[in-house]
Amino acid sequence: MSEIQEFFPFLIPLILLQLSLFLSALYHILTHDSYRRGTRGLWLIVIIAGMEFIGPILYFLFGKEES
Amino acid sequence: MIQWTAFLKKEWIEFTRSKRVWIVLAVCIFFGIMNPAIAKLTPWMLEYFSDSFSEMGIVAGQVQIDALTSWAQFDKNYSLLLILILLLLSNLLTEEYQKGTLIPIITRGMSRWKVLTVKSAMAAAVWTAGYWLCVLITYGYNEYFWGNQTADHLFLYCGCLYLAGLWMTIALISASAYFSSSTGVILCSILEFALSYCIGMTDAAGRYVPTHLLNASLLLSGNAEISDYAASALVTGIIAAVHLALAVFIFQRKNLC
Repeated sequence: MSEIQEFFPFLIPLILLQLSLFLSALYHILTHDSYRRGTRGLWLIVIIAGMEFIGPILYFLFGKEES
Repeated sequence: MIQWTAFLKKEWIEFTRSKRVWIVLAVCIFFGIMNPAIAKLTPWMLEYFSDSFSEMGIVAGQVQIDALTSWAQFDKNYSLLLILILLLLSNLLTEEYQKGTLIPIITRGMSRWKVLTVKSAMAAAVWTAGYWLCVLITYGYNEYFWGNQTADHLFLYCGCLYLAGLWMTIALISASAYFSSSTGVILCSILEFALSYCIGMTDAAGRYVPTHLLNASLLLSGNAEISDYAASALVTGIIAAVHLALAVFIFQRKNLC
């Protein structure tokens, strides 16, 4: 337990960051109907499978349509 | 000046509304946290793998972890951070060419050099803010766990890497003034980096090229002097200034359609 506690200073901000990126990507996908590439199903799979940063970043770079 | 600040404001609004600002923030915070986290994980990982190591005949002894390990990790992750930020910035101008959004601004009397300098300032600001945020987070964790006293010339080391990144950012923008697609821009920047790297391998010019700044980690362990990097920093500054002037010159003649 104490070993894990040592990593709390790293884990807590990382998890918060990951969750906020994930939730903002999820919100954006669900509130938009068209994407630059791909479909809603594809992007949902991408952000859930690649939840550790890479999925939401990929979505914002390549999937999000210009408004 | 009013035009300049107004255009800068427009750039900033575009940057926030396209959510790019959040990506830059997330990436920089992520790298800032991961540097000390990986350093902290190293003994645990060695312990975990020590069984398979001993089967191979490698004996893993006790490893000393301090702020230098974390800064070494920072040095390794730096290139990835730079590449990610450059990729994000690579369509700063090319996107405007493709959509034709610069034409109404320029035909209504905005000077072209203002457009280019605002874009350069924006790119430089993104790099500056992102890089120093990453440095600050790593510095904070290192201070908390180990203390940064073991690292010599820390500020100068970070400054050297910052300058190298700034050179790449300016090179990227001046490539954007010439090329109309982001692929061309990225390839041109890679070519410039590779050229500097190749020249850096020769003995005569090795100390003067911008990529020499990337070896600044020797400063931390005290194996190099500040003067070793002065020439390279000066050359980098001059190259960046020449790039900017050349970019303005090319952009004046660029066909925006």
